[in-house]
Amino acid sequence: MNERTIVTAVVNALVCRGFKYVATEVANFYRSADIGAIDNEGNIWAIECKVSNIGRAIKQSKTHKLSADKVFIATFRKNIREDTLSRIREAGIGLLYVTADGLMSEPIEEPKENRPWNLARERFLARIMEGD
Amino acid sequence: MATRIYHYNTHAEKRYFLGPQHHGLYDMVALNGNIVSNTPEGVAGFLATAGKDFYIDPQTHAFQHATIHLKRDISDKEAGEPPEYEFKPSIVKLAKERLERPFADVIQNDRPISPIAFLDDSNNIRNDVVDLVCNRVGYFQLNTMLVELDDEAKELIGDISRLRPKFLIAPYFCMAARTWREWFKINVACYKRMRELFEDLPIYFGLVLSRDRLNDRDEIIKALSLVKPHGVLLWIDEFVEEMLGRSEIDSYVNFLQGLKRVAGTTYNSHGGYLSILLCHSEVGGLLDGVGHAMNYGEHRAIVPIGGGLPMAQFYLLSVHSRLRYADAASIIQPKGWLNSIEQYRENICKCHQCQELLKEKGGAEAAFAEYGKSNPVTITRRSGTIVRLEYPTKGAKQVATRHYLYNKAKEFENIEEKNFRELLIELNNTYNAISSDGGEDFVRHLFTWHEALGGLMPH
Repeated sequence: MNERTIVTAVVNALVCRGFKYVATEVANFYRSADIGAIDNEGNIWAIECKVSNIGRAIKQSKTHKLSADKVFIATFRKNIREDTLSRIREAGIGLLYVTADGLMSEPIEEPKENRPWNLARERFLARIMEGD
Repeated sequence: MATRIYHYNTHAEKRYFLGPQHHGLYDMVALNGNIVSNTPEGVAGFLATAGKDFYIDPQTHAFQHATIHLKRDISDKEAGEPPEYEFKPSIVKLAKERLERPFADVIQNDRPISPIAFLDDSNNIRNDVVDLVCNRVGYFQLNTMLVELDDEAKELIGDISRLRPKFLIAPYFCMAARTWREWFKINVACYKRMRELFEDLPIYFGLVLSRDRLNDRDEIIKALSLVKPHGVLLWIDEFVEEMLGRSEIDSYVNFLQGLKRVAGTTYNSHGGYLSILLCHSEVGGLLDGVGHAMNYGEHRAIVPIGGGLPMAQFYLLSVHSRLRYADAASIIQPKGWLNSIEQYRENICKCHQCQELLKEKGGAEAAFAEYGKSNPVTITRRSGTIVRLEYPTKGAKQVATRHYLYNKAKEFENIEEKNFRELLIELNNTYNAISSDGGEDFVRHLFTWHEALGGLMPH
């Protein structure tokens, strides 16, 4: 199981749910989001996919919060330590699980309402549409 | 007033040195031996226009490291050829035509210079070698530009005394690893000989150290007290001031206090705001000047490492750090500092570059966005992973550099205009304001500096 499996599972799930645009490896400042997507209500999602090192994903997600309405970390279903979960909650990030058979769960944690920076949001939106 | 030193590393950077808007921002130009050796006419023309004091770093230490660092890869990467290295032509010229033996032997034998070149079988200094090296290194700094200029160029420049460096730097080698004591002995011998050979000129001691040498500071100071250098040009390997712990800052301060007792002048070639604060007269002016390059170079590795991909950066004055643009935005935007021009001026910056952008773009958001303008690039890592990142535009890099230089000048102004206590309180206030909003990672150094420098506060 690797990161690519998580990316594929999440992309498939979002496409099945009728998301307007789904792109992978979307440039966002000096980082890239593993997945950038636009849902049916026009919200921009940025998703970091990680097998391990969730702490690093939390740091990366801080940059994505400048540009996306909803920021998620996607990882394999497993027992995430309570302190890591609290850090995810504290950072206002959502959490998605991918099962061993490549299916994506409903959000385990919903992200807090985020107010991205308009200019960065527009730029990220353009990058998603270019990459879709 | 503390000396503000700009490193002139490429001719493309000339634009940040010349012109009325830049001229007042710095006092001295640091030239590297390579650029002087390779393009003496170009450097002479630049210096004549700039009209600033300067010095030439002879870069003798560059020849003591593995020779791969003096080479370039000439293989055709697009054709998938394996790497093929050759010495950079500018280094060949510096070694063979300017500095000569034993530096030229490094090119000839493809082997770094070792202390053995300067020591006899009994481990005593070979005065013949020291004499030869000092003569060449001194001559190189004093005369290279003068002898390379033709009469027409000399006439154009007019007063050619402007091409005389403010001081000469004695041949020096890096004091790292287990051989540091041998190199130090050689550095001291070279320094003494330079003083004898060029007795009418100020001679500076190039003190290039690894960080762990700070633990040997008493031994170093004791040896330097015997030669009483006119000046010391300090360079501590990759000394990232934002990353220093309390004890490292204590060692650094203690080392500077020692240097202050034995050397006439001490410049830190590569330093940030911590070093600028240590120039403050209320702490005894532990440093007499600090150098940096054009939006980089507040710290520098002795052995060059790959530069990596350029990324948009923004110097946030209150944080006294050059941040990645997105990190700066993550501090600035949630605080509402982009909501109005007044907020921008009050909390972010009111340098000439920012004022110009605020006027030109008509708003705070649009002005700040100029610093982050970039284009996406796709990179394939060695592992085969494809990553997409944003690469700053030329325009973004230029405005960010000007903004940086104005802010560095402002930091030097601060130590003239404000008392030390006030400056430390500012560090603490910024730390409190930003860390409470989740920006702890970007401001932790302010807390450490505040704590470490508190002991120096005048009673």
